[in-house]
Order: sequence, then structure tokens, then C-alpha cells
Amino acid sequence: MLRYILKRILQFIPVFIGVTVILFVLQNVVPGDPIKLITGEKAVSPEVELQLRIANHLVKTQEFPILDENGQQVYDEDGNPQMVKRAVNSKGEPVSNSKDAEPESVWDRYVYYISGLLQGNLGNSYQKRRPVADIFLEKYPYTIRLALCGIVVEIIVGIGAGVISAIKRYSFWDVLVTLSTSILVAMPAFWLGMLLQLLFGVNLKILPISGAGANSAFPEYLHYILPAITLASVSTAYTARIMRSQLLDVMNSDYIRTAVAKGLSSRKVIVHHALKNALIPVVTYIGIDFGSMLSGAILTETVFNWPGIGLTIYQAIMQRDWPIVLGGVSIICIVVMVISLIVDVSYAFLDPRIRYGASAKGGK
Amino acid sequence: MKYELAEDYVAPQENALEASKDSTKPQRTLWGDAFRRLRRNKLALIASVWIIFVVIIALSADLWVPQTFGSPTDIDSSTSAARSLLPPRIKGLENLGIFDGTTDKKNLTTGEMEHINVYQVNAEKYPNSGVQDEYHPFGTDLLGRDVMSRIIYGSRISLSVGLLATSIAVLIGLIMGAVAAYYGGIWDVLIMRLADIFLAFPYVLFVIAVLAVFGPGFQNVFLAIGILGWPSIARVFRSAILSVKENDFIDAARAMGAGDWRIIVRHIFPNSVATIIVYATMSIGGAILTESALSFLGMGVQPPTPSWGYMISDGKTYLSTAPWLMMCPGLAILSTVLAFTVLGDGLRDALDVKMKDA
Amino acid sequence: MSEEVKNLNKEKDVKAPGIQANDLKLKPIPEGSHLLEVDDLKMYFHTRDGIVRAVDGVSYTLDPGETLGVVGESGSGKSVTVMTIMGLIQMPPGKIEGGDVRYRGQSLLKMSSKEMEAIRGNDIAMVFQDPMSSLNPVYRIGKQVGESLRIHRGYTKKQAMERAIELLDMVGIPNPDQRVKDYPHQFSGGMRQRVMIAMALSCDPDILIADEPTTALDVTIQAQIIELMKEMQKRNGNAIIMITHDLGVVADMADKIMIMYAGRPVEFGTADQIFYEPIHPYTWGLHNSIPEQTIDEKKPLTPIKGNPPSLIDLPAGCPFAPRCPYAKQICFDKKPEKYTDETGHYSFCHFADDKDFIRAHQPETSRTNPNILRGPASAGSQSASKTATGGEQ
Repeated sequence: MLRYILKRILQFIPVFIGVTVILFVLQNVVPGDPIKLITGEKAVSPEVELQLRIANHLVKTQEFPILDENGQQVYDEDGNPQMVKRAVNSKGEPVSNSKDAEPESVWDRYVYYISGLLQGNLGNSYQKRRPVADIFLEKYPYTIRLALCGIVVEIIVGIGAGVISAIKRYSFWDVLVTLSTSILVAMPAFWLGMLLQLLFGVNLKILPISGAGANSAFPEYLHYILPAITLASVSTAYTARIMRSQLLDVMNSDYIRTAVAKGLSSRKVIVHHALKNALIPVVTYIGIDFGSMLSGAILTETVFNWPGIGLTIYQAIMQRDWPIVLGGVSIICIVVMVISLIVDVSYAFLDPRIRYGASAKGGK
Repeated sequence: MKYELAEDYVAPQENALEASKDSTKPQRTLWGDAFRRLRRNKLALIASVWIIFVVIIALSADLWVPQTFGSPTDIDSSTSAARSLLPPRIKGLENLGIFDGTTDKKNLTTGEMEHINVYQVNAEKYPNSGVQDEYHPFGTDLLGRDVMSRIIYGSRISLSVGLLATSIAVLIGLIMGAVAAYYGGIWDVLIMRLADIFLAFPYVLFVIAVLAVFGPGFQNVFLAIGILGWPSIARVFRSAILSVKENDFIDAARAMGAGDWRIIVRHIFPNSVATIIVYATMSIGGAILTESALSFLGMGVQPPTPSWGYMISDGKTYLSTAPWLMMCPGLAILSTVLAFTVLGDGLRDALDVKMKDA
Repeated sequence: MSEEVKNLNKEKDVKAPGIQANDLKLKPIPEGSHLLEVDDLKMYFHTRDGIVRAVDGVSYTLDPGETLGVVGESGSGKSVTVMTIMGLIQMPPGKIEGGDVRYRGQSLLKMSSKEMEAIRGNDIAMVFQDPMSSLNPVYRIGKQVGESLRIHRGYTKKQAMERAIELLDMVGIPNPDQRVKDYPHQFSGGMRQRVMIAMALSCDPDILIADEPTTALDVTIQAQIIELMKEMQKRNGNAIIMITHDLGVVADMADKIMIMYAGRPVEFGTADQIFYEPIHPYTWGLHNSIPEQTIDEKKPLTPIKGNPPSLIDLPAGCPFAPRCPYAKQICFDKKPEKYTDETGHYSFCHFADDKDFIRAHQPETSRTNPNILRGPASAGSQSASKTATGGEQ
């Protein structure tokens, strides 16, 4: 098993590097001038632009001592000379114009980027004048809470519906589950959210349709219901489908026939022999899906005005605040990758064939 | 629960039966067979009819969409105020009391009533606005544009994004998958690792990030959806090729001196084409969904060009007063995407393509 | 040793810890009945394409300690017959269309699912073809072997584990106290089949049904498993129904053999009769397609031409007629009647009572040609065991 886990972690490293390279390329290299991405559509003065370039490691810089009016070095209280970062040209002379400054090499910028990323530095929102990481840290608890509710819905409804439709195959319930999963998968989730708002909020007036409970006439927990259902809708449908097909597959397997031939009752066969086998891939799917839920449901949060990271990204899109968008995508990608790694590793604990065998099964 | 040996057991008999039928009708081909099986599948048949219907409507819109409805894109300031937010009204159903161009006031709270006064929605909207002779079956939007015309023109965006994005994804996926599977070794490792990296991104967010950098708009949307969609197709195609590659006729072709690309194009491709068709059909639905999500977030086709996702986000503000704004485009997306998935399912069964669920 | 165990075994059955008082195997077999009687059993599958006559009038009897071999091609209904007996066929699409199965005089087909559960694995146990997939991959071997005891005898976990270790030891698995903690994928194919046998025998069943238990195994392992089953039979005194497509496998094992074709029995008799006096052309075909004979005798291998018919639209006459080299017009027109001789040897063939016809076409055996036994024995279990059978005669 150690070998399997080690292998998974080793496989994770190139994927992680690849993802960060793509994110870096998107943020820094492709659009030509990253300043436009940082400032959005706002025009900035040359001085500000140079400062932005220095702050974002776009130009080479050197430390220079600060001089007072008399040309004397300024010292701080400990007697050390005070320094300032200034852009330099190719000869190492300080410049005050971004045209003259020597651009930082792409490699150095990537190193800055990745070390910043690993320290939790996702850049700054020029428009909000705040670090992107701070903004997300503030919003993340809402997203996590919503994701937890969503995953509960997914586990209960998805697994339940899948098991029922597999056991009562071709019955009314099976047809109902098959039909509704097909529709849920083909439906834009944000539209489903709006339908729920229309039904439960506007017409029946029994559930709140917006926000996470601040200044609301409804108790806070009611605010979770509709967003959680919307967030979980598509993946619940997939969970039910996977559960159904897995269980049917397992029920057709030879070892189930063995169990029946031993004289086990139908209930025991399903509960003790079929479910455990059929659940392994379902649990894997749910685990990975939890990752993508944690990554912020941009659509759900937009529909329900849920103050999580998804809504933050949406608002940033509206305001053309690209550092927030790209920073958000970076943090989400990393969360998703780490969670799928954890799921992959925990898969080993679920399946004895991996736990005790040398023959590790392929990832998918 | 009963153990299901029965199906396993009967299968060879059925095959034997089919085989015996085959020998009496030698003309039947794989495709003829698949078509026959597809025709027996009623759901898939309905789905194909719907897709054809949508395509015809999208292509012929300019010829027949009544100009009295106003252009779906241009805003005529002289009439837009009068036609603003008219509820659905369908000729012939008025007497039945449904779709008669009124909204039910009883369901509205006082707060919403105030809102209504702002947008002048009331029970006699059409006569009050001086457009009593007009019929807008899906209602009108804030700017007085006919929702049905906008949905019809919006289908052009959805269908073309779906088709173009899928074609791009399939093309790249095919080449990548073919190279990975056929040459194997380092190529396989590199391409599949690259696919892993692409798949590590949450798909919609990845597209959003790319559009954030390159800017929204029709062209960028289908390019982004298409280019970022290749890895899953490459994976599918790679395993399809690998399974074909094991066959003896590939060795035979190589023994006769056929070149690599000739083998791929003439021998491997035809044998994996069923898988590609099924996968592509399902991908079109996915691409339409992605496009609608992007438009909903304002990252898609930019207004005033009508697109279904954007129309839904337009309706978000008027959910309680003008629910038709989001209802109809949503149904359009649902029915079209569902049609492509059902057709894909039907094709999969008809062509007997093995695929993993989800 | 085996004698001793056998004697002990009779006692043990009654005193076995936890055995239920209403366990059918404690009941005496009624006068005039057999341990198991399959009487004109008919089981059809109702499918979209038509009715599949999977089991179409199968009859046989089995007495305690006896071994019945059921031989036929795949799709001949031999497995479905025992599945029907065990109640493992899903109904629908399966449906019993006639006949009966009686165990110790009681009809299994009339039993409730609860009563059948008490019989399955307890009185009648089964070993399946593919040992690689017949064990649940997520449970330890010990748990799976002891499971029958837990449900049928009410053993505690600890008792079941102890008994599982004994059983594994009995079927020849080394270090059983360690291996009970292993998972199925840690066992080889032959070892897994031993586990399956231990599992089937855990409740001392009256009847062990073995559905092609050696087909998925290597030739050398095949012989070992057959040996094991014989040894266990000597020890426990259980009856065996051995299903196989290979006449050689049952050669030295079976007391009676039934040949099946297209869902029906075509010939039934003692092992001697089937091997030395076969009277059905299909049985002759099976004899001629046993490869070992070609090695020994340089006799040409004669496969049976063609494929078995579809069970949906069977030919009007004898189902074997289209492939039968001796078929006459009557074979295509009329279904053959059952012909039974005074020993109970029966056959479904229009010419079963035509001695001249039979003498003319019956394949040579050691009875008619003693030279057959002189050929060098080949490595396979079949030829070696056949020699042994011949020697006993």
C-alpha cells in the first residue's frame, strides 16, 4: 500500500507543476502586458504603472539607499540604512520610466509566482487594493459550509436513489430515478436554482432565496436548503447513476451468486456482500466531487447571492477585476488537486486489493 | 433480489439466433444494423427529431420570424418602453384564461406590487401599452424584445458553439489520442500527463480563467471550450485505438507495408469511429451547457447578441415579476441538451460502444 | 484414516454443534424415494425474442454418496438445470413450466424463499466454475468460509473462524491459521477453488454441486481439485453432481452420467454404460472428440460438426438431427421417444433399440478393442484416470 500511496504522490508532483505553469502562463505571459490584467480597464499614470510593475516582479529591481534632501543616507532607528526597491535598466542604473526598465526574465517571474503561491500569496486586487488571499480567506467558510450541506444531500439522495433503482430494477422507482437523473444532468444547474427560488421563495414563500442568513426574516439554517440542493443536483444525479450501475454490476458478479448459494437472505446479500463492493467507486466519486464543491460553486453562489468564493469570482468578473478571478482559479485548482490526491490515497484503504496487493489498479 | 444468471445465459443463444439471421440476409452492414436498432429506440428517435427541428429553426429564422416582433437584437427606443416585460400571450388560448397576457396579482406581496408599478406590469398589460393586437407567446424582455425571437436566434449561438467547440475538441483529442496510443512510449506518457494536468482544472473555471485573459466573445468562447475539452476525448480515443491495435488485421496491414498514418486513417480510425461519434454527440450537449453557464456569468457571447444563458441571467432580476424571462430559455437549453444526451445514449446502444458511466 | 472419519461423520452429522433440529438432512429419505429426484423438469426463459427452452424435460435421481456426472456443450442447459434446483434462476424471465425437484421427498420448487435459504449452502452446496471471481474481493477468506456456519448453525464469529481454519486445513491449504486473514486476491486459482470447496462443505451438505469446477484451472491443478473432491466425498459421504463439458473429467469419478443436448437429456446411464456402451450418436460424437484418444491411438480426431441449435426455435424433430451424421428423414420430422432398457439406461434416439445400427457406429472402447489401454498415458488427468477406471473393470 505504501508503494501505491508513494506512486500517487509522485504522480501528483508533475501535475501540480503543470497546473501552476499553465496558471502562470495565463496570468503573466499570454496577454502581452500583464498590467492590463492587473488594472482591468482603468487607466493608470506612468508612475503608478512602474510601481505596479515593481510590485508584481515584472521588471528587474535593485535595492537603493534612500537619500534625504542633502544627499545623505537615511538610517532607521537601529542604525541600518533604509533601502528602496527601484526598477533598473540593463546596466543596473535606476530608471523612473517603465519603458526603460529591463523586464524580469520569465523564469524568475515563475519562481516569484510559485514561491508566492506556496506562501499563500495570490497577488493583489488593484481595484479593491487588498491581497486576493485575504479576500478569499474571508469568504471561504461560507463555501465550505455550503459544500458540506451539498455533500450530505449528494450522499443521502444519490446513494439512496441509486440503491433503490438497482434493487427494484425496471420498477416505477427505477424509471423515475433514471428519468430524473437524465433531466438533472441536462439542466443548467443555475436554472434549476432559479426554478427552486421561484417555487419555494416566490410562490410558496417558505424558503429564503438569497444570502446566507444575514438580515433575514428566516432562520439561518433555512438559507442552506435551496443552494445546497442546487449545488448537489448534478453530482447527485451522477452519484445515483454510478451507484445503480455499480450495484447492478456487482449483483451480476460470481461472488454474489456464491453468497446466494450459501443460503444468505436477499437482504444480507445486498447489505453485506453487494453494497460494500459497489460503494468503493461511488465513494471515490463523491470524494472528488467534494473537492469540486469546495472549489466554490460559482453558478450556485451567483444565483443565491451566497457570499462565498464563487460569488466573489463572479463579482470580480463583472468588475473586470482579473487578479481576483485568476487568483481564485489558482486557489481552487490547488484545493481540487489536493483533495483528489487525498481521495486517491484513501481509495487504498477502501479496497483490500490495493491495500494488500502489489497490483495497484489504475487511477480512473 | 434474485441472482441474475438468466441474462448471461440467454446471451449466447440470442447471438446464435442473430448469427443465423445474418447468414440469411448478407447485405446487412454494421451501420445498417446500428440504424435499424436506433430506429427501434423511440426516445432516440424523438431526440433526433427535436435536434433536426431546432437546427432547421435556427437556420431559417431570418425567413419567417415575424418582423413585427421587433428585431431580437436592435432596440427601437420608440416602442421598447411600451413593450417592456409583456407576459406571454398566445393567440387562441386567451379565452381559456391561460397565456392571455396577464399576470396574477393575487400572488404578489405589497413590496412586489410596488416593483410592478415601476415596470408597469398589471393585469391588462397589453391594452394598456397600446399593443393589444400583438401576441408574444413567450412574453417580452425589459427592452421590449420578443423572447421567442430571441430564443430562436439564441439557438444559433448554442448550436454553433456546441458544434464548433466539439469539433475542435474532437480534432485535437483525436490527434493527441492517436499519437499517444499509436506511438506509445514517451509520446504516450507526455500526452497523457498533459491530459492529466488539463483534467486537474475544474473545467468551467478553467474556461473562465482563459476567457478572463483573452476576453469574452463568441469566437473565444467556442475556442476555449473546444481547446480545453480535448483531454477526455483523447483518453477515450486512446483506449479505443489501443483495443483496435491489438487486432491481427493491424499487424497484417503493417506486414503489407502500410505506413503509420495510413494504418491510423484507413484501419484504426474506421474501427473506432463509433466510439468517437457517440462521445462527440454527448459532448455537444456538454458544450451547450458550458456556453450557457459562461453566458450566464457574463463571460460568453456579449449582448445584444441573444444567447440562452445570458437571457436566463437577464431574468434573474425579474424572477418574481417576469418569470417567463428565465423559464423559456431554460427549457430551450434543457430540451436541446437532453436531446443530444438521449441521442448519444441511443447511438451508444445501437453501435454497441462500451463506455463508463459518468 | 478415511474409514474412521467416515464412521465418525455419521455421528457428527447428528451431533454437529448448532445444527438446526428441522434441518432436512437429518430427516430420513422416505421409502421409494431417492436423495434427490429431478422429474421431467422444464424451465423456460421468456425473453423479448421468444421462449428459450433452457431446461426441457430433464430427469435423474441421486442417492447418498453417489456421483452424477452431467456432460454437455456450453448452452446445453446443464448449468441452468442445477441453478434451477438451487433456486438461483431469476423468475421472471425464468419460469418453471413443469416437472418437479424433490430432495428427501420434499419438493424444492414448492418451498418458500425462506425455506430455500435454509437448504442452500446447508443441505445442497455449490462450487462454481471461476474461482477467481467467485469469492468476494473485499472480505477475508476466513469470514467467507465461516459465513455459512454463522447463518445455518448460528456459530459465533470465533467458532466460525476456528472451524474455517479446520476446513482450510482439510482441503489442503498450508498455514490455514494465517491464511484465513488473507483476501481472495492473495490466493492462486487452484487455492481459491480449494477455498470454494471448503466453503461448500462447511455445513456437511448432503449434495455438493460442482459446476465445471476445473474448467478455469490449469491441467495439473484440475487433477488435484478432482482428487480433493473425491477425497472429501469419501470423508463426508456427500453426493456429488459434477457438471462438465469434458467427458474425461467425470470418467473416473461418476457413478452415473447424463449427457445433455439443447436443454434435454439425450442419454443417461451408469458410467460404464456411457463409456463402453453408449447408444446415442451425440455421445459417440463426444467420445470421438476427446483428444487423448488421438494421442494414444493415432485415430483421427472427429469433431462434431456445426453448432448447437438456438433454444428459441428448436428443430421440429430430434434437436441433434441437423448435426447427426446418421440422421434419416424421421429424425427431422418426429421427436424421438425415450427408450429405456431394463438397467435404466435411457436414450432419446429413434434408433436406440436398433442393435445393428448401434453396433455399426459405436466408437471403439477398451471392451471392444483392448489395445486402447496399451497406449502411453499422456500427462493430463483424463487419460490417466481413464486408465485407472479401465483397470478396475
